[in-house]
Amino acid sequence: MKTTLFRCLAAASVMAVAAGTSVAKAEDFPTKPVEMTVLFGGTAQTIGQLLADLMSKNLAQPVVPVSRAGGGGSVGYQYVHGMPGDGYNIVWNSNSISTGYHGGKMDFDYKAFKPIAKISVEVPAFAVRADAGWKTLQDMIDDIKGSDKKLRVGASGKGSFTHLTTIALLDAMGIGDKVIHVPYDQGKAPVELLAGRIDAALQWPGQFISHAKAGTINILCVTSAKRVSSLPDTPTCDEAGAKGINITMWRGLAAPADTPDEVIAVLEEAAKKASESEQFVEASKTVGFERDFADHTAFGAEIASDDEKISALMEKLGLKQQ
Amino acid sequence: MDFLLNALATSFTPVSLVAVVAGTFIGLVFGSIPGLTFTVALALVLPVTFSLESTPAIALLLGTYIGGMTGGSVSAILLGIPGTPSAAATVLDGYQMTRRGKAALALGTAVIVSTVGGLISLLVMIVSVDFVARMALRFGPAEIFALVLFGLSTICGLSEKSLLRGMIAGVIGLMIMTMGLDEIDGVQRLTFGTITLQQGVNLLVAMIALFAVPHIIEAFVQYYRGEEQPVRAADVNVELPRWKDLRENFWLMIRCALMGTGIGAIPGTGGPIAAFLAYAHARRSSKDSIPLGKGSLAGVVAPETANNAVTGGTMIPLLALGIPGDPATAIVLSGLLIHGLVPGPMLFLEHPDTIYSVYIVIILSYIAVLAIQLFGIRLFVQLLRVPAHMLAVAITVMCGFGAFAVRNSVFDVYTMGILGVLAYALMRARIPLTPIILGLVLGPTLEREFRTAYILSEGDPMIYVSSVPAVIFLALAALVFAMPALKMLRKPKNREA
Amino acid sequence: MRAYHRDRITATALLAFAIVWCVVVWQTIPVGSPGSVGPRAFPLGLGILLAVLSGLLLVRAQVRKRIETAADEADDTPDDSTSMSGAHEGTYLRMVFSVFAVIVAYGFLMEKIGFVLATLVTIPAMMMLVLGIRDPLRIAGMAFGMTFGCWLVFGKLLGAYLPPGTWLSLF
Repeated sequence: MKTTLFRCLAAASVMAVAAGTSVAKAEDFPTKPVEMTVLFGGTAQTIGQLLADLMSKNLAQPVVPVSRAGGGGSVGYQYVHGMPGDGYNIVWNSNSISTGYHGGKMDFDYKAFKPIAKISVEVPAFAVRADAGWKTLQDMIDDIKGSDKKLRVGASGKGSFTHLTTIALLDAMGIGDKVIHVPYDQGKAPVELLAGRIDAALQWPGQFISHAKAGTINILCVTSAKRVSSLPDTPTCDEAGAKGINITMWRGLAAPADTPDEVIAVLEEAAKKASESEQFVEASKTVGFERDFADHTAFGAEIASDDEKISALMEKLGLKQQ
Repeated sequence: MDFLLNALATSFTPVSLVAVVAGTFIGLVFGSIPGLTFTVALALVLPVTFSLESTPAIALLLGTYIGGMTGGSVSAILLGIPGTPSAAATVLDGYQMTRRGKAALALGTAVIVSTVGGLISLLVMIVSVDFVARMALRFGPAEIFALVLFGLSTICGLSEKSLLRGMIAGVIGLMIMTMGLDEIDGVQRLTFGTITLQQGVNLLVAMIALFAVPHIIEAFVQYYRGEEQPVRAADVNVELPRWKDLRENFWLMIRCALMGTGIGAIPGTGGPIAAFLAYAHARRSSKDSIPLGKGSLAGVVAPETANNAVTGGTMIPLLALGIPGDPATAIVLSGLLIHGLVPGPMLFLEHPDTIYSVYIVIILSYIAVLAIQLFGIRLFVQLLRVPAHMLAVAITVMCGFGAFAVRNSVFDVYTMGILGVLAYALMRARIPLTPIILGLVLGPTLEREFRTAYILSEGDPMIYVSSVPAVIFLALAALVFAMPALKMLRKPKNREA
Repeated sequence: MRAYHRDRITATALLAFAIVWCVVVWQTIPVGSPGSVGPRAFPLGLGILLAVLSGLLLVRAQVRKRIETAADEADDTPDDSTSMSGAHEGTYLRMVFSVFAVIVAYGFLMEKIGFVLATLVTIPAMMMLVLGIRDPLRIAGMAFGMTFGCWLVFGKLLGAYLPPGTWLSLF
């Protein structure tokens, strides 16, 4: 019995080697399902699952979204980083690669991955309670500057993307020293805002829109350079008085650095078609993200420049670990 | 009324009905297998809803959620391993009932009271969604901290034999959960510089380890020593609950349902806390001839009513404020968003028919739960015919895969092995395991809310006693902790006090 | 082994663990920014609490030892409610180790050769090596039955993600 078992294992390992050598041919890629590692829950997971679903329709094999959350994304990045670069392991990434690396959570940075395509952009919105009486960002700044009150701002934990954005925004408004950062995990900031325990919150607009329509919350600005489609009447922070603010969260696909270019091209094409599909356009409106496709070269350049920006910002805040 | 008719018309289409039944079934299967929970199930059915109309999509998601919450009791009662964290409290008496040959009675009761709990919470939701949502808003970090501390005080009830050992167990549970990445300060704790440890110990994985691994070891030892209990025909009788059993526990059911709804409505709390608090409540109030912890029916009624009432409770902040209370409702929220239904105050004005569909779907899915489960019990109890060692082999495989499936991470399988052996050692050292679960469940919330409250108040400790709910829960917690200590003082010579 | 004896071992082990925990926490976790309860506070506080509680357990075991030793002089019946003969203790240790090894090996194989093959290998290994079952029909039945059942229900019907294996993947 034992010897049979060993013989089976030996035969299996021979097959493994054989399988390993036959995979590399790019022209018939993919010959087995492509695994897309998803790093977070919430909107990241929703968009990732939808994208995988739509990409599957454009490829010979399905794209399987596999959730590997934890450690602010570092767990999933590490997994994909450790996989062979054959195109069968891709990651649904975001600038968490930069916040994670500079925050000391990972020992590798964005250069460990090859960009495939940028898919979407999410723009945080800055909101306050309606009965605070602040109609515009300037109202709030004047009010805070004129009193000795500190502004309690809800964002995710220290070193997270929304936290960095909050600090950058308030610094640009000149009230960076009159702020208490209250860390909330993503979903809870609107409740705390409504209940009056915090004065302002910086989160994804989807959480605020219904309350803004109901008139209980005022959305003062969005942190991108252009207005966002879900909030056409809301000014950008730059317009509203926080000069020079342009911070957005991109999401896209990447593969281990040694993945061949032909394979990247196949995946890029599938992602492009998926992101142009009607269902994806529809979802971008309801889930609350901006479609923003960029090919692998443009995406690569953006990741690099964004990384520098985040690095500088974290350096300034004393959060940079490496 | 038009809206109601409209909702009825969309809910009673064949697609919607199939979606409810399928969702409930998937939920039940995932819920009843240790390690696979409704959160995993919801993530898997979410892509399916992309291509459905909105009502069938809601039906599929809510069915899965409700089925999963109910399914957790099946393995808790039959195997002594909770299928979901919310069913951990059900193990205490449910498994004892199975050992006394009353598995079917426990299972049947669990299904019926789950349904009652769920429907009561639905009723609360329909009549007072605005009021409850506004009340829930008042629960800030300080109040939730107090509530969680009160939840932790149930350790006293769970470790009757020795408060000291119970507290040691609870502290161990709390300690395990501090490992990993600290979300508030973005600091790594006890990760020893590795990325893998940043994910920390997952609650579900720890729970499987604590309940399943000692169980497997015991079963193997008994087989090895030839002491395995032969299966008796009496063990697998199908005795369903009678009207009398339910009537006796009627008021307990009502109280636990309201408790579950209330706790479910507070974001960031959820099923396990409700179930343990309900269990502790039953323990204090029970007049049953069989004491709780020894296989009392009230010990199944209380947690199962409460954890299903949580499903209705969590829908309140989800629909009224757009705030998901736990990872499972976050996925339900995604499903609603994809279909252009943005929960929040405007949903009630713009899409009242959707709200009615939600109500109808919840009712339908409880009908499905009742039908599937009451029929299924006859099959489930047949599991007890399987020799214990073969069952243990199957459980090992299921739990190994279950631990993996939680986060698709092999690290979790290893963690399960390590924690399982530690749990077994603690069990042999007569440290009770259930308080560890309590520590695991409540630890992260306890710490997060305490620290957030401190930041909010700019370091003023008065925030913890600055509101009525906070003071009430803190006082209750203090009372529960103080009582056994006082007893101990009065009887200093009490052995194993 | 007496109950108090066992308690003494338990308490000492827990106390040692708590002290090591506190030292490691103190050295590796930063205290955090002023004006907040930093990341170190809870782990450290819990470590200290565990140390205190296990210290109490140790004290109580000592007290009980004195009481029970005094009682023994009057009553000589051995207390065997919790004692365990050496042979049984051996079986337990063996099983604890085996179950641990099986779980770790299963996890490792699942990652390397995929869920299906790992399950096919682990079940017979567990039945033969740990339980000493020799009946090939039962082993094969259980191995193929469980594997096929799990593959069908989890992978195909419920659509859960089954690890495909990184060394070789057949399914």
